[in-house]
Amino acid sequence: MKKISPLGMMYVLFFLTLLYMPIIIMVAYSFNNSELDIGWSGFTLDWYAKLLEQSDIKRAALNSLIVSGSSTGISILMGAFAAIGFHQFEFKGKNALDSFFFVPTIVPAMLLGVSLLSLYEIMGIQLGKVTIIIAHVTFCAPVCFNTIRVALNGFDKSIEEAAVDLGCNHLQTITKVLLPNLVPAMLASGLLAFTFSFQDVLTTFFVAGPKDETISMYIFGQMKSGMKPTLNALSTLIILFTVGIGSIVQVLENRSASQ
Amino acid sequence: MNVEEIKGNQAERRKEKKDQAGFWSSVLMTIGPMGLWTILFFVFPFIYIILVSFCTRDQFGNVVYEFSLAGYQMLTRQMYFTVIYQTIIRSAIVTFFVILLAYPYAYLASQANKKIQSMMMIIIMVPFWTSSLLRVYAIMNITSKNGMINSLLMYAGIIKEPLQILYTDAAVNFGMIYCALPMMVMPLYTSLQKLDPSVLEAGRDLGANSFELFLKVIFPLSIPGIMGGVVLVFIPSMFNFFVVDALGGGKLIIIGNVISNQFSTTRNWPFGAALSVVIMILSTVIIYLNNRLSMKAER
Repeated sequence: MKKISPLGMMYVLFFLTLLYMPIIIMVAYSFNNSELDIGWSGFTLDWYAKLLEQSDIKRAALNSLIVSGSSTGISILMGAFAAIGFHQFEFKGKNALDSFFFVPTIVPAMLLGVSLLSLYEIMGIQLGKVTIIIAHVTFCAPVCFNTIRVALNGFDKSIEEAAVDLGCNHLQTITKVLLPNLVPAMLASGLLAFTFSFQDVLTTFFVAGPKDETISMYIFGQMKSGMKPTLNALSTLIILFTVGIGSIVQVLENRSASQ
Repeated sequence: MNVEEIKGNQAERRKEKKDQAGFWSSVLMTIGPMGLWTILFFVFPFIYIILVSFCTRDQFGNVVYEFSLAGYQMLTRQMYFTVIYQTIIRSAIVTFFVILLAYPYAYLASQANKKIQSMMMIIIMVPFWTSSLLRVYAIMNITSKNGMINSLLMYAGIIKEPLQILYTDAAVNFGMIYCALPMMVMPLYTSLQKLDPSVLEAGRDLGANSFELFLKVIFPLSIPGIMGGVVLVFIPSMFNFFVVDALGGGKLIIIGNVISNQFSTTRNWPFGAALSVVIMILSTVIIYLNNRLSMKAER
């Protein structure tokens, strides 16, 4: 372990400037009192006020909350159930099943979108919020499953054995011993799933109905027609939101790692 | 054997059977929903896509279920072949620059003392948690006509008129590199962390210069990290059509745009499916090689 050399220090600064500069400028411009991006012309909160007036943004935000909230809920439930099953039972082909559950997370998001779109079309399912939720759960549930499984692996088996010795049956061991200890992992995995769902464009693009635009889809649509100060404000709010969620995940994970 | 014993045996066997039935029903109850979901909404659609790739379409764009290689034949057309070829080259270049930029940072972080180490990793979490869509928008902001890059260059007197940066090839490449940077630091850092500083010292004592040390000690150790990064950067770069749409201004297309068009406006599903299958195979090969390499490295 040594100190970073001055040259190294310069590189670190360069790298961090590269990473942060575009984001900082975007945040700064959301407070800029000018419609055009021609330098700084005073502080304003107008763009944030304008956000609240736009009904299409409010609708998109509401859609996003409904879609990501439901996908997260379903993913946590399904992931936790499967993880507990993996923890409690030994059976043939368990490892193969484990990798099978993992595949939807490594398949490119866009291919998941187009293949689900084709499935919906042959089955005559109308695109809407439900079709987005199905798509999101498909790539979010494995995230929950994995996180909760890892947490279960670190769980002290002797506590379960003690519960059995004290007269708990299978179900009681799960509900009274495992579940309460799994709450942090379920929360962390849920927040992770929520951000994945909330930020997704590549899958949602194909499976969203015309009226059920999520906030990411809204931003994507607006971006194509150029820059707007309100979009800077909206982006700033979303960054605050997702970075906030990310920090909570980090804290939860660090806490469970140090235990 | 008396009657009592036989009865007892039968009861035991029945109980065993019941236990086993109970076992499997508990397994189904817990793992079943996830298994069913994955089969219904992941396996089925993918099988269907593979099926469609061998079909043809009528003039309204509906899939006709007859065996045909028309979709795959489209891939060899000059126009599409060029797009595929250029996308792969572009993704390779992007991946190379991402590794080049992220490597020194990951290396410095891995060699610093614990406190600085965690600080350097926490600080890249903000860009990491910011969605790549928003980061692309941020790049639009700084590359626009009156954006920061042009303002700085004009202020410094290097240029008199603002340059057209946004909606060019360079903006697309920069956007892709920028989006992937925080993703690359993680795997590199994880593999470089295993590097013991005393090994470097020993190498230096034995007369190796920095270049030799890098080539013979540091680089081989970081290969799993590089491969992990390739999976995280190279494959998504072929699909991220929103980066190209936003920063290329509709003039440029990559594989992702071609696939997306076949499933929306152009409605040539067999061709879109065929292209998806080919890229899927390519991605699988990359992921497979990555797993093999990292397993080798762990041994």
